[in-house]
Amino acid sequence: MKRLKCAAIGLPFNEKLLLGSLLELVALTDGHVFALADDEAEAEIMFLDPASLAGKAYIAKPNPGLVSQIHYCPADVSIPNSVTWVLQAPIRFGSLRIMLIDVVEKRRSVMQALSRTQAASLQIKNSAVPEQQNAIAAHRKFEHIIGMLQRLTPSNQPKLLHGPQNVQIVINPAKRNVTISGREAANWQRQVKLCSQTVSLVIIQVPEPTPETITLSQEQFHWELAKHVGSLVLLPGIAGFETFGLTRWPDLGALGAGQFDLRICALLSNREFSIGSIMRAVPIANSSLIGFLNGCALLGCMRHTPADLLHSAERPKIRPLPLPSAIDRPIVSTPSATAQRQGFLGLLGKLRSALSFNPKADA
Amino acid sequence: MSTPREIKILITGPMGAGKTTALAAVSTVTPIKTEANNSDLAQHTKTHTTVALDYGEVELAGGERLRLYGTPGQRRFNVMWQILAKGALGVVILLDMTRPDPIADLKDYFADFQSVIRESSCVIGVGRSHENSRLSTADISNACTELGVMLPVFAIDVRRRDDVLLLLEALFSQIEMAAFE
Repeated sequence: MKRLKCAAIGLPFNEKLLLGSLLELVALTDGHVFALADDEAEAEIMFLDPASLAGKAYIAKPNPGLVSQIHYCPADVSIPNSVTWVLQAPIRFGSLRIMLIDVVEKRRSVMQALSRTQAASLQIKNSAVPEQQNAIAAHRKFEHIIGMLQRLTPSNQPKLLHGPQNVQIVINPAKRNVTISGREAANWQRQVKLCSQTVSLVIIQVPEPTPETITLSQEQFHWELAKHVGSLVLLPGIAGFETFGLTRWPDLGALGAGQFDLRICALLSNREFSIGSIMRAVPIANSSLIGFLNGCALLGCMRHTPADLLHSAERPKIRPLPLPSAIDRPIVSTPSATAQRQGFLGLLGKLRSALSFNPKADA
Repeated sequence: MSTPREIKILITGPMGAGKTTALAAVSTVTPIKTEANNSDLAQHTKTHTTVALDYGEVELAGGERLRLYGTPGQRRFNVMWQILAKGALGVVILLDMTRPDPIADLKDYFADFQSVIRESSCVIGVGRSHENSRLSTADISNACTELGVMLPVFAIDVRRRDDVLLLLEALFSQIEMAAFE
């Protein structure tokens, strides 16, 4: 029996009592039970009223990502979109149980991702040559930067991310852009790469733009970070995925697309594929593919079916998911499709040469 | 099965979206245009507009070719749309973000060309996106999702050849990858 510790902050006394009673009644079919504890520090699931002082203080603390937050909201309060789980007052047994099933599901994915990332890091570390060790360190810093960027909200003040070689990289959350200024600004891709050395953000006043200032959209900045810095290991949020698909095409024109990026998007917009299957369909280096997948994850256009749903179609669904039948079947083409494709492949190749389509980034 | 000798691509979209310009940007022959004085100034203020079709091509050694057809933008000429769509392997829909309702435009063209879009490939080029602060390419992507399809949506400038080539390359990629079923 797996016991998950819960705590409640800022809830009205009667609601806290009710919650404690209801939690004792919830037991999931996979053996999970829940208990309301007094010790907030040990809680794995936190119920909190975001309008209360204690709730606000808790939200303001850095969350390591392992405590699942459920926001308690009175019926007349509007719900922000950014919150994953919202428990409407008055608390009802049915809605509480459905929410806890979802929480357990999400926690399982996060734990699996975490353990796989750790295992992968350990595996790389054990056989790492100095160059790889540097890459691992860069990747950790990259994860750190991304974590910080994701916590920025439009109301945050502009931040200075990195300033090597008299270059200033300023992130402006309100305008959703990043400005790079200084003598070396023109070489902005290198400057974005150097961001991996940054470990903290500094709040600054927005500098006056200079003739050398280059402005990137936040999406361009994330994409470059992912492609150039995060190409060794998948980000924690997607590290546990067995298959990958897209919820939408990223605007590859604005991001600086390569032919391979376009082909992978075309592939993943149909259904989900594993990394091995993608590499069989598109001749791309592993590091470029990892960078591409990390980039899509940062832009929020990655979709995924949890591994257990892939292998167990009977599992109850909490929310609509892609059909398991459409996920990572081996790549096989029907004879007619293969013939047609082979025929067009030659023609498309000639057209590409004639049109001189020159991809900007297929490193 | 004989080797395909040509690919037919259709370029469509509302009046003034840049269909003729896009086609001319990549055609290796002088495009054939059927333009007349614009009598529908309420829709767009340009002096001339396409009334039947634009035609361009990219000819390859050995007689293989890419045929590009541009449709007239005005709905009153839509009798031409289905004629031109026959046998097309891909559709480029160009949208103009300065028009009153680009999403309504998208839905209109999607409805008219949906059989080609669902059976082959489609890409959406969004022009003048920086002149519309209310809508982004992501909103157009979301509108496509609501229509039940996931299509590439790129902010482009049809006057730039590379941008038009990006649209064609997106179509080519879809044609190639469609075989992996």
